[in-house]
Amino acid sequence: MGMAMTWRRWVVLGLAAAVAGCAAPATSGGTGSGLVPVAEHAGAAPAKAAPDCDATASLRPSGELPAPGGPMPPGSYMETIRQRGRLVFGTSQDTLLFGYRDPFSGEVQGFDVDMGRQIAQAIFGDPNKIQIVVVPYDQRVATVQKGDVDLIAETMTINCQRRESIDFSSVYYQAGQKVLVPRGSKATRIEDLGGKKVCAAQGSTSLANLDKVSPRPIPVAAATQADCLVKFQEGEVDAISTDDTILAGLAAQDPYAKVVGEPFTDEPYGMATSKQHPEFTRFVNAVLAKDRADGTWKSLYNKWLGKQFGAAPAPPAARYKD
Amino acid sequence: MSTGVTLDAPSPAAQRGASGWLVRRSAGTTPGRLWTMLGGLLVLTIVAALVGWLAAGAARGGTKRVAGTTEPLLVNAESIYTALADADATAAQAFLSGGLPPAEQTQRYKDDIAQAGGQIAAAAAKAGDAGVAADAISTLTAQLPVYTGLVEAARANNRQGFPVGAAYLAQASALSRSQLLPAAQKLFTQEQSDLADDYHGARATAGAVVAGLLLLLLIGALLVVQSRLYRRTHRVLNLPLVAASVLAVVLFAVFTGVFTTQHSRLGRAQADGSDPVVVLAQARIAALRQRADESLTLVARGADPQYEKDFQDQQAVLGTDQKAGLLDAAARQAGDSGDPVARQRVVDIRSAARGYAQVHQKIREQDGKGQFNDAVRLATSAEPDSAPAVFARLDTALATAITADQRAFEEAAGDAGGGLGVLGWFVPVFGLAIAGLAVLGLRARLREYR
Repeated sequence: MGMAMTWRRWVVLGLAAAVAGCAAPATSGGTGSGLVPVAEHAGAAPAKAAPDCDATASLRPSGELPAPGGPMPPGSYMETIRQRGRLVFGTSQDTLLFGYRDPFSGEVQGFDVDMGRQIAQAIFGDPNKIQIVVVPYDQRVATVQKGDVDLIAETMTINCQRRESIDFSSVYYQAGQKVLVPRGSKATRIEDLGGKKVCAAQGSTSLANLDKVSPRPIPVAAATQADCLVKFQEGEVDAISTDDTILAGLAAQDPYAKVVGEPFTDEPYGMATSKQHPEFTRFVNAVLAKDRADGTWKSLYNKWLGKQFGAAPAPPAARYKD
Repeated sequence: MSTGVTLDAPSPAAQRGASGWLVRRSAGTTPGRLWTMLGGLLVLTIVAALVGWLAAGAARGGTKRVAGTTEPLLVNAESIYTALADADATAAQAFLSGGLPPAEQTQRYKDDIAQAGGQIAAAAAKAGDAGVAADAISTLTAQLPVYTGLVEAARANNRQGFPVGAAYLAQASALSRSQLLPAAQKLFTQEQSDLADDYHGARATAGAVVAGLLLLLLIGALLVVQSRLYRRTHRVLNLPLVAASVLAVVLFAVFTGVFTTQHSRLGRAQADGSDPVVVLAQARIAALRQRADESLTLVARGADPQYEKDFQDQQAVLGTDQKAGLLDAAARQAGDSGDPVARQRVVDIRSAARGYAQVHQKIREQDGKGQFNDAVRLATSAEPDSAPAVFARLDTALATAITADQRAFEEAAGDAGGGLGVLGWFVPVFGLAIAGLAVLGLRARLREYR
């Protein structure tokens, strides 16, 4: 218990993002493993040691971006995309603010979707040359690995375990896990929900993180974030715990829900790419670097998240390994 | 062992009671033979009449049950199933086109639910307290309000622009497919097998055949008795026995006539009516399921390949393009009926099914090429070559054929039991008359031995 507290303080104190990233094994991969520090300090026996890595360090952009709409470097994956005529982009359609289907227009939109549109813009000079594919949470890694999509931006935490199978862009958003409870609830943090049913999406780091909370809540998996809200409204679960970003979107749909407490994990979001085309990951990072520098990131933040979280902070700084 | 002693003077004991007399006296004597003949004829008449009467009663009750209870219950189960499948397809449609669903779609969903609710209540009133049908009805009764609740929650959230509405609708559809539709299918299957049982009962084949054979035996016995008497007495004819024979022949003719007619009408009701209704109803449900699958595939936007797989599975069940499946079975049934109109109806259904399969193919191609909005437009717009109009042609063709076959059933089954009511009094009255005439005819001969 005391050891777990030590670990929690580490994370809350903002231990290096890399370590926190590694602290979040995915549940769906099956190769799941415990957080190394927790295992060491708390004496728990993890199924298998997590790969240790510098999770948020991505591939450095190489030189200037080619002119949008023009030819891409010959033989590059960007050229393959350009010749296909559209970027195949994976996201969610039920995460309000990030990737959701607008019930009025039927269009899928949000901060994540605009991140994808920026890449389409950089290749084609047209943000609409994009095919949106909805990818279930627990299929994100496999979908990128199989090459069914070029890119995924779907509130996806960068971590070492996922890095074994796929590549990630630099961090484009910094989130942290919180908890959503009924308006009248006395709970103020996740630790107050020991023994209660807490919902998270199948295949998310949030679900895995619940196992490390003490006293332990009863994790309940749902197919999507919105399904968690349905379960919450139907009284099947007592709370929902996932990234603050997602919870804000859920709370906006239910006036009888509130988000409480400080983030108890560190969830750096990255765009997922295949390991087959490192040049594409570098390209994506170059676009992100441009968006950070020219204010695009801030204006997109304000467009989607400003109302919920206030004015845009400084974008998360990129970290590169080579 | 003929003693011949008492030929001219029957003992007083013999006059006291025929049975005692028969037991004690040899049947070889002339009065003995006469009593045997009389007894045999009476027993045969009574047994034949009784079996015939019971068979007619069973057939009459069974026919009534087929036409008045079991088949309507089958139709009732079919309409529950169809209404629920249609509600699922309509809800998925509404979810796909952005904004509020058109008023007619909302109305269609409401009509479906009202129809399902009413038919479930009707089915509950007729089904017993236990068994497969009762279980299915209790699932339907319990889950239908849950389903409509989820759809209403979806609608309320959708109205406020909350994407969680889509999750409610997905849950509603999942509930329909995991609970409601399987329960409706179970009910439908149960009613189908009940109907098959009742057709069997209504034909009362065993009873009718036995009664017919007994009547033939009676006719034969009457002829034998008359020929014996004729030889012994050298009289020309025993008029009462001749009359009894005529009545027996008439009874046999009427009896077999009524049963043959009933069997042929029931056969027609089944072959041209309820059998095609069952096949076409299944085809309609498979088609509605395909329509929902198509919408749900687009709604999931690549996240859920199971709906397209289900679409293809239903395509195989229908047999739109191959020589096996429901449409082929329907074509065979219509061919057997010899009715060119029925045949044409199935031809129309098949061509409409092919048309819909082509539109679906195009939708999938567009979606696959990344032209999602074009695919949605083709799946939802009111254009005459878009999926809604093309599918409506298929659904209408199926509904028309089901209605026509149902009418064929009602016509054939409605008067199938007609003659059986007449048999109910005809058999006992003729039986009594034959018995009376037999007594009359033989009593005259017995008197001669006093």
